[in-house]
Amino acid sequence: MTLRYLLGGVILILGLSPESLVAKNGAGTSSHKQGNHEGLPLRVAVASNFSPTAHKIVTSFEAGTNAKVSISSASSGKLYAQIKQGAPFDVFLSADAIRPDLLVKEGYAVAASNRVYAHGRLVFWVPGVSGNESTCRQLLYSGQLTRVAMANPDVAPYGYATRQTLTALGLKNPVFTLIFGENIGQTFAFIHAGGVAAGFIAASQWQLSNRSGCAWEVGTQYHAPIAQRAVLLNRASNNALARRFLDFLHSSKTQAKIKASGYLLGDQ
Amino acid sequence: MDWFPGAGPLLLTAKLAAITVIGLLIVGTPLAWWLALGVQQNKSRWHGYVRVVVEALVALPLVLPPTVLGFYLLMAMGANGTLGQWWIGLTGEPLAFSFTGLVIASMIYSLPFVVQPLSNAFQSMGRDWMEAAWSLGANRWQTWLRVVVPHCRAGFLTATVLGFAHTLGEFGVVLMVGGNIPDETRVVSIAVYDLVESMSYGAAHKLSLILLGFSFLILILVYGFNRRWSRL
Repeated sequence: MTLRYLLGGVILILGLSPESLVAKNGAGTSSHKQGNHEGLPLRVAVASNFSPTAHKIVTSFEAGTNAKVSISSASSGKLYAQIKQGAPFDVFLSADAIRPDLLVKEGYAVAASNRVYAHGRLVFWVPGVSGNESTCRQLLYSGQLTRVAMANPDVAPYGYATRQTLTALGLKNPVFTLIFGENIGQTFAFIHAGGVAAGFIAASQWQLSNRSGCAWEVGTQYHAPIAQRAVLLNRASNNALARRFLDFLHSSKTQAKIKASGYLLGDQ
Repeated sequence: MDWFPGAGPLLLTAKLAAITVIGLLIVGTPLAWWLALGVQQNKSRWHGYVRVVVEALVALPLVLPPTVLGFYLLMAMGANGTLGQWWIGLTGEPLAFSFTGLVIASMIYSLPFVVQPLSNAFQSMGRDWMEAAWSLGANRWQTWLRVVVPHCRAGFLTATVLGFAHTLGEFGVVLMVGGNIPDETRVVSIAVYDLVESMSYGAAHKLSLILLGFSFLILILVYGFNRRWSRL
């Protein structure tokens, strides 16, 4: 008897499946075929560091066009692999220049669309110590810090820039232990949760945080620019909405918004 | 769906888990039956070997890191994989990064959680009850509905609930083959990860708390029922 109720419950859950699923996808996955874009959301793959800013940009884009845009975020490396495996993304906003360039070279993205939309900036953040920028920076040499968080230099562009910065500061073999986050989002979470007392994060994250303690805005003389490029992916090469989104991304109004979120501007 | 960023992922996860469990009960019941009772009819040595191999295959998702399973599934279901290409020919899209792909991945991932409780239940029931029913004139269908299912209901319940709950907790595999696409593959575990990455800690807290409460409730229910039924 009870088993019958249980099965009933399962069937009920099935029946309660999101109505939006049916509505948005129309005839299901078969309608995703190339060339048919009507009623489908624009799918944008975004590197995690840019995801909060991308949400803001998408909101104003949607308001202006009545289009539906969905954002999928992960590390640039993961998104790159998924795009090569055929993930249904229309536009890719990377945290670096390497992956978009590779996608163009390997024939997955439209060469003419490959442009810098923002330059990332690094911030060294110590939430528990108050002071100005120079006292914050001096903490790196003080021996007070036992652990410092940074993004993994091998997979995350911000981690790569952090390693260059540490080398430039003469801290190639620092007294503190480096804790690697898989990407800059995880790195921020380590510090925010109090697991690590200090670390190198993105300026855009610093803008969004409660800005407690001290922070040093790492100048661009310490590392090569973190040029973040956006590309149109092949499956969307005939998608007018995707092109419109990229134009919107590079427009002066949006660029001002990106700058206010803690980035330096893209190529002019 | 706009009132809370977790609503879409929650419904999607419930749908995924429900479809996965139903699929697994359909596929897993005959498999568990064969593992538990099927072999005794043909007691050849060869059958014994096959059984051991199948048992090991069924248990493999318990041991394999989800990243390994996910990596192989991505290779198979992606644009360059055999399965993926066949699916592209059929629908124009790769199987990976689609809801259907997630269902297949989840069914493989949760297979042992459904097959093992069922197999144990069938095994502990043995053939005696069925033979008694047959000798009293019941046909196969009647035996199944009136003897086997009631006798093994605790096993069915455990299989259903564990299969459902384990699919809720799926993360590594979905991260590899899902692609974090809203309303298609963004399940709760991925949504929480995503919210943390994009610094929406408040929403991550809420969603995690809902999942924690729900998982706890499910387990309370299953242990409660099992206790009551085992006393009957």
